Amino acid sequence: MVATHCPYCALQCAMDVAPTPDGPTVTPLEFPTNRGRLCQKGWTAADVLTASGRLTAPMVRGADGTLAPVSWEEALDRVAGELRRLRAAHGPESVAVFGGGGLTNEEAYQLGKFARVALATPNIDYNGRFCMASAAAGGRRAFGLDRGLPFPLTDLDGAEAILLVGSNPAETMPPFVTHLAGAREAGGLVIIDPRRTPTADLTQDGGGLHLAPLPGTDLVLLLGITQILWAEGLVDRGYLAERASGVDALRASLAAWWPERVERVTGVPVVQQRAAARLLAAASPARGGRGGYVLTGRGAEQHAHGTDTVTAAVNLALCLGLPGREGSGYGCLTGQGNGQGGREHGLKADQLPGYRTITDPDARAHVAGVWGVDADSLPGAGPPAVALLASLATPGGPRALLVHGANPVVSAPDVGPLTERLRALELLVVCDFVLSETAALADVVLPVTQWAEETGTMTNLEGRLLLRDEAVPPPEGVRTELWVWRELARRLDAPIDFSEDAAEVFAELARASSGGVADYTGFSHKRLRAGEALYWPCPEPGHPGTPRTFLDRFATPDGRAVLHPVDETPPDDLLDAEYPLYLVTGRVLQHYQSGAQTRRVAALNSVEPESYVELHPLLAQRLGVEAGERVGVHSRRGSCEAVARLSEGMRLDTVFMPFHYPGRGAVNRVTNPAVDPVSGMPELKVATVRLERLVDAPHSFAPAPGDAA
Amino acid sequence: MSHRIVVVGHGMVAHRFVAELLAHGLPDVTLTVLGDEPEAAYNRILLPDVLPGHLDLAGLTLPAHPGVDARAGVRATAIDRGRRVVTDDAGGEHPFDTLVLATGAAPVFPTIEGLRDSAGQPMPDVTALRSWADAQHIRAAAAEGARVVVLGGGLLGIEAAVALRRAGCAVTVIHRGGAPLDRQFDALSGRVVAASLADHGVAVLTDCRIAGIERRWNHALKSIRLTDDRRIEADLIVVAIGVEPRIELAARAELAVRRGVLVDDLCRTDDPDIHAIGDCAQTGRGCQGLVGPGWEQARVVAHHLAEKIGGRARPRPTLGFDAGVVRLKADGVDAVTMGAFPADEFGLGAPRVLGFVDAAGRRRVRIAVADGVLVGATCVGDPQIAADLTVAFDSRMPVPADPAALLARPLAGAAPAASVLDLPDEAVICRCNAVPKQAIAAAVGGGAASVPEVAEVTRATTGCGSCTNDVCRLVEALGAAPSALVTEKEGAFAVA
Repeated sequence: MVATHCPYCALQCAMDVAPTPDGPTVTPLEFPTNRGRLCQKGWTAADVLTASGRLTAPMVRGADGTLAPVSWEEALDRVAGELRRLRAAHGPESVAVFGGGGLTNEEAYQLGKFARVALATPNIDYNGRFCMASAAAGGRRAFGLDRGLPFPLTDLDGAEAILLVGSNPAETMPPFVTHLAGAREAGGLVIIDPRRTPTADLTQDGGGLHLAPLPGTDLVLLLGITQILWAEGLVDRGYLAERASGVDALRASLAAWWPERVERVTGVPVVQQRAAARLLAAASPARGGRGGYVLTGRGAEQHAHGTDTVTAAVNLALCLGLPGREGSGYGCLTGQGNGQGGREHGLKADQLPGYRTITDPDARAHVAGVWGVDADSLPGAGPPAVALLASLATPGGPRALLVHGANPVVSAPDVGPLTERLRALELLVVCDFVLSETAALADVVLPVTQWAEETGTMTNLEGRLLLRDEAVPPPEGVRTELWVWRELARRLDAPIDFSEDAAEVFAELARASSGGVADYTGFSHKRLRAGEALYWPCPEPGHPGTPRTFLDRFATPDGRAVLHPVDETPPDDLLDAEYPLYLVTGRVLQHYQSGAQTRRVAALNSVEPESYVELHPLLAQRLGVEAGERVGVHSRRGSCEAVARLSEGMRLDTVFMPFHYPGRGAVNRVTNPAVDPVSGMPELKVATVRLERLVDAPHSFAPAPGDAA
Repeated sequence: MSHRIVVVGHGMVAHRFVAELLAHGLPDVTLTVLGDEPEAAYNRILLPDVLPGHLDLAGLTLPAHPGVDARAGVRATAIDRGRRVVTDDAGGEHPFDTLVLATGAAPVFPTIEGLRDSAGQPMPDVTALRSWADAQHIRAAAAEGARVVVLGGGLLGIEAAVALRRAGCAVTVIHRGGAPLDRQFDALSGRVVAASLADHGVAVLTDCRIAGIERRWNHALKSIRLTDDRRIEADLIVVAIGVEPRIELAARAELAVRRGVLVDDLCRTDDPDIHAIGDCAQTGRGCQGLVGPGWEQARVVAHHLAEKIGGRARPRPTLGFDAGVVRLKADGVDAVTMGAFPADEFGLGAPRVLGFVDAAGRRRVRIAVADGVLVGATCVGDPQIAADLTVAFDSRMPVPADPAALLARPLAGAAPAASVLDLPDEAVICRCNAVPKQAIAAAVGGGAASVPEVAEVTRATTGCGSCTNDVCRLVEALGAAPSALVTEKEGAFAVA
């Protein structure tokens, strides 16, 4: 029996994994984040280890166009040979890398290093760009540092009020909900979400307030609530004077957002705005409250102005005097298992390990020193994910792509054209443990270990480092990704060796992060095995780590938080007669991300087997759509198909679709690739669409990855 | 040579115009703004919020525009159209290539004996609420408990009255018409508003004419006498009977004026280099006196100038003209009206009109639907419906098959929640682990006698824990011994 953590979300629930004659089983463990609880994904996590369709041999696409098993030697030689050819003919930038927020810290670090040193390409980014980039940019802009929750999750327990902006943890990380109990009991849970989600339902019976703005207007709603705080004298002025800068500019930016104007833009009644403002203020320390938190999720962030929306939430928290105080604060709820660590160790196009900026000469010199290469040999910043994927197989763009821990043909926005570009690549290599929809397009598929079959660390949503030890032996024939990179680096005559030992890689990561913002210097696998609770930064060996950042000062040059004024930007997609409805996207409880894992677990897939579109019964009635009927969902990008599901928790002008499904059911065939100008994050959370009954307008769909034959 | 734009007036519309113009990023434009108030541009709409005492000038002040020569306390006195120069009250001259008049509107004071002093200025205890200075004046004059009479039961009067009430004053509104807000709202809506105001401690007297103002020997205000001889005692009078466009400057420059400065669709006066926007402008729709249309005009002029001066433009703004939503801004009294209603609901081809009045519930909702979209709506006393209707009207969202569904909406959770015992067998009790009621029943049937025992078999309650009470009730009802029940408030659960 091995104590480890769940393979899915950033809550990283603790569990034991034990081999039994019927295969491995999972038992929940007491741990501060999950408290001995698990959702259905967690309980069935071991099923992923034995999922059908597990890849156990490398596959190479032959002349007949089909993937056929080959030896590792042959597969790696083929990849290395092709890479060598492309690099020689078109330069190192002809190769691109796409990573994922599910990779361990060791893998994320090593992949970044592999790209910069073995491939010498700037073209590396990861799917965290689809989920965390705006929160990261907003946090850095205000506090000089981005750690999802700059406090332990259990701090939420004592809060009197918690504002959740665009987050649905009751479905995305169910055990998290126990940490909302105190606020609910105090009537202080405030949920901002266009849908009445299961999380919004927690505000019923006196639990708090649910504000349901028009999609894409969260920013304006936050401006409005902040303006009310000032207008009603509820701001913590003493805190602002001591700990923040930019008050005057912030106030000026709020002056034009009086409540009735906010109501007109957002659809949230003035009375609700005022109630939310008063409730949050009453909980703030300045007014004698027990403490309050402002938390953002993807609903706030996945917009073409997501960074500004995060900033508006941060500004609200600052006006209430919450961040940097024990028992209060601002945080973002990281989504992917290692969404936090993934964005710290060099998977991002513009970053080096330790959350360093790749264009900073000191950062380059330090990291190059640890790697044993010349700083001048390191490439500069590459394009962020959406731009990177858009450049594939275009003139001057990358001709080869290596994919690790991601399934972009399901998870990226506007997947129709992306699929074509992946097909047009000269070389697509996918490392995965099942034949994901992206792997199915690949020229070479490399079967790798997953979760409980390898050792590595994850940094959870609190910035706490967790060890996931190998709990079960991997199937015959699969290799770790660390091994794959070592082998490829050798074949590419890389200037340095790449270790395949996770502890060794971690020790190097710690040195590379030393002196950076996300400083792991004092962390080690050994300390984790000894049971220490370690939160970064940990700037020296023996340092206890930092459960709460910002208590004394923010990580800005002058130690003050920055109130950065922001203003309204409407969604990129506007309503018109042709596309009269808003589409919002999100998750269901039983699935995770692109569904590559969870759709292969029978217990999960039988509950949510296919894509659906949720709409209000009155909208369904107007469209003549019956519950259970298949409808077409059309946008300016493309079309998808889903089963109609009726819910009175929907706005009349908004429909919802989950994003876990491939093929015709893939909502990302219609989503908008417009990106945030600061973070490069796409507007996955709002698009305008038209719904049509399929019997009225039978649509011919181009075949797509994941379509049943 | 750079193109010189002079803006006269620095209210909300002028400020917006400058922002819109700057957003076009035109090179070689110099912008001068002359504001006659001593303060930098501020949000006039929030003035009532100043009265209860929390909002200071910084909370109203709009962002300064870098690179713009904005002068406060400078009044334009003349436009020399021949020389293309604006003169100010300090003798300064401001040459322009394009002039934008945004002089706004001034409050109208009734011609009643006792309101003005011998110089024709309002007496110290008589004021409007149109400027920061007015708001300061009222705050100084109307201490808590002061008796204030508001003349005029229109939008501005009611907004001032409610704010004064919040500031602790005893407030009476004297209105000429049969119901407050009768310029924009139907009479029934107005009566519901009046009843709601009375609930909030604001008296509204309708169908009133003022006979005179009564003062004491020291000229202090005593009471307002109505034509029916009623006397309303007062310490302060706030006048809100209307505004009139400030057109003197334009008129003296011999621009075409009527009630306001006459302008075309591009807000051009009869001099193509001179525009007028906001409350001082009279478009084909008249003088609207609302900030929304003023901002739309600001955008139109900025766009036009970007084309004219820069020879290029960003894509034309996609939002059309402001359709005119009138929203009362008064904490606790919700009233909004938009669009238009037909004079005769039974007329051939008239929009479909639906509505109800709930006098005791202080609610009134009325909508007009044509061609499948909302063309008019009025809502009093239901904030959620008001917000929903506004959004539906602005977005031209198609209405439901039966538009009556827009008139009321069941509140979430308002219906009594069905007992878990009444739910069908296949109903999911534990969402986190997709456990239906029948699985829990089967577990109890199989001997599970407590929540942890049911959890052991079904995993119900082991996710977020929200269903623990329901599972407990089921275990109880399905026959387990009550002593075996364990309700874990903390929600901790671990399988040994």
